Amino acid sequence: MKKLLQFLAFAYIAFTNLACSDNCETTRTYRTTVPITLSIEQIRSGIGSEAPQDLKNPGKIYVKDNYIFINEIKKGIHIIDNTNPQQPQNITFLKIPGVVDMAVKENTLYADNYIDIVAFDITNPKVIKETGRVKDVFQNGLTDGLSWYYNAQNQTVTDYEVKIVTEKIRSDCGQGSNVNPIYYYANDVAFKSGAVQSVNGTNGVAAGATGTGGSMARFTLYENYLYTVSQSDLLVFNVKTLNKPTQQAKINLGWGIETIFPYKDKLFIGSNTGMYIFDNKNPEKPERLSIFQHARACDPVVVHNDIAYVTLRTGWCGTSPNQLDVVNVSNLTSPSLIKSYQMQQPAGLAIDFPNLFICESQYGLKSFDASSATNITLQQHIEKINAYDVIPLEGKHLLMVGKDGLYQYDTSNPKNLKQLSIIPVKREN
Amino acid sequence: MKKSFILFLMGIIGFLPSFGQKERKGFFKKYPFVNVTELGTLLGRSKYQIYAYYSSYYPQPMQYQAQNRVNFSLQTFNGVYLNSKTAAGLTVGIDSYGPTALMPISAGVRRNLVQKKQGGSVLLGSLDVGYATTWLNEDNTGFKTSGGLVVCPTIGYKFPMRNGSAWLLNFGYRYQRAEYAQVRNDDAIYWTESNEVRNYRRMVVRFGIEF
Repeated sequence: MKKLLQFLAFAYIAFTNLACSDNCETTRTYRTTVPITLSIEQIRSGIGSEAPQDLKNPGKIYVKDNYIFINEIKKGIHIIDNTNPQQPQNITFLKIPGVVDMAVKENTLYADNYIDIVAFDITNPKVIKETGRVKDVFQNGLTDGLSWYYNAQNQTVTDYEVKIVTEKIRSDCGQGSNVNPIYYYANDVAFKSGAVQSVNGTNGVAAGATGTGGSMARFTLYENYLYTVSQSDLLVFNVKTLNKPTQQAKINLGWGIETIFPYKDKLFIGSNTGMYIFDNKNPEKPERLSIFQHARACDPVVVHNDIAYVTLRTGWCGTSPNQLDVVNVSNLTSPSLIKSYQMQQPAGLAIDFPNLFICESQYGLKSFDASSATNITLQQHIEKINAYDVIPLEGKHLLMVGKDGLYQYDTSNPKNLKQLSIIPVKREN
Repeated sequence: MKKSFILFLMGIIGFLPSFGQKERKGFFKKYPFVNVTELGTLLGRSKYQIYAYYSSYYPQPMQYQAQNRVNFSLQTFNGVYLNSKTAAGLTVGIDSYGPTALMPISAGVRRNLVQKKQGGSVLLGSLDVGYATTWLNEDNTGFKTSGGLVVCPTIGYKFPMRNGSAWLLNFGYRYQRAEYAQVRNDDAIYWTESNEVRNYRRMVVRFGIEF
């Protein structure tokens, strides 16, 4: 009996010695990017009209007459018939590889196609035709924190695709020094320049001829010229012949260019370190007048009556405080700050004087009375929605896009906005 | 607040033995109080993957690295002798696994298995089964530790002293489960969320005193 017990004791100790290995398994899920390579032929021939699709990852929005154009980032453009704002109809999906920006003049839609700018005839929005193309305009781009670049030698574009990965790893139970790193293949410098799109203002352009885009748009139309900003350059295209755009000028601006916003005969160009003001009296060759510098931040701009409203927020573009800067731009060569207002997480903004609408991301939409620049007061705060871009339309009507969908509001009473309709976003990730 | 409560509880547990010594009547006369306080090490090994990452684009062979682990454990058992050989009670302990401190609370049994002669050394078996709390743990930002099942059988020696107390030397196995979850940061493009299921499997060597 005793011997048996002793044997059991030794067997027990031997067993425990062998089985004394920690077993820790980490299950992790993460969002990462993987490279994809597209040939120039694939990019240029990948264009076509398709049946309407659900919104999945909407980017910028653009409005022309009764149509709303919503960018499905790098996939195409949703065309919405908004004749009845209470019941918007999704009519077509225009497939364009690499599209992030657009502008409309009369019946011509201009959009980017990775490296090219393409003109489309949208007289019949159900059957859209490609009418013109300017080749090899852009060399690289940055949207939603993901950059792409053109390799001229191989005639290919390398872009990155978001992927959600779930994996199991045998880990060290938190006791080792090296935690298993997750490697991202590119874009260490990831500005969230595309995702939190923007804003709009009254675009200062005669109504009817051209449409309205966001204040973080990289495309804008002025008279017979289409202006686009790339990461570092301002490009001017002549669109006198609507379907045959031609490149006119290229002006280097330095790095970090985000938005372009025309006001009267001036161009306001937002970069992540400041706001450039260009004189546009000669639209073929804009001239730089001044620069209003601010902390490194994301900075949508709208302008009304010589007053520029700039929102700064903490995010991918920098780490400035979240605020609204009101800047006097009556003397364009030396803009001066009037006042700063504390904000929560401001993204897009829009001015429908005297009402100022600011998207506060996850904190909702705010309506302000901006009749006095030194005393901007809150009129209404719509909470529990995600808001990142607004466009005011004619007839006291506001278009607001957030993570969950495209909302339309009646703003006839700025203290009590009424929701007219919503086009939902069906996100995949 | 939580920590001060734990300290208060531990104070009471530490005080109980002396209380038990005095009150030898009624219940404690029939079932004598026993306290066993032990200090020990948790010996084991950890084998884990290194440079493990999303591998479909750049396939990499799996690489493992092994390291020996020595951790610290403290526990106190308070119970009563149900008969001359078997004691049952509650075990409260502290196990520190690197940056993680777990506080297991278990139901415990101690039994004298073999004694050659009266007053001589005893072969002692014990079993503790319980749940590890994280009351003493501090989490890193964005992470949350949660405890789990603890099972600890041991076998060892009891060396009685003349005054009725005894020295103990125990060898055994300790299984402990915990989880370490990383909370997802919703705003970033490159977010990560993870959950680590930790199964600590250790050999335990404990030295202590019973009275």
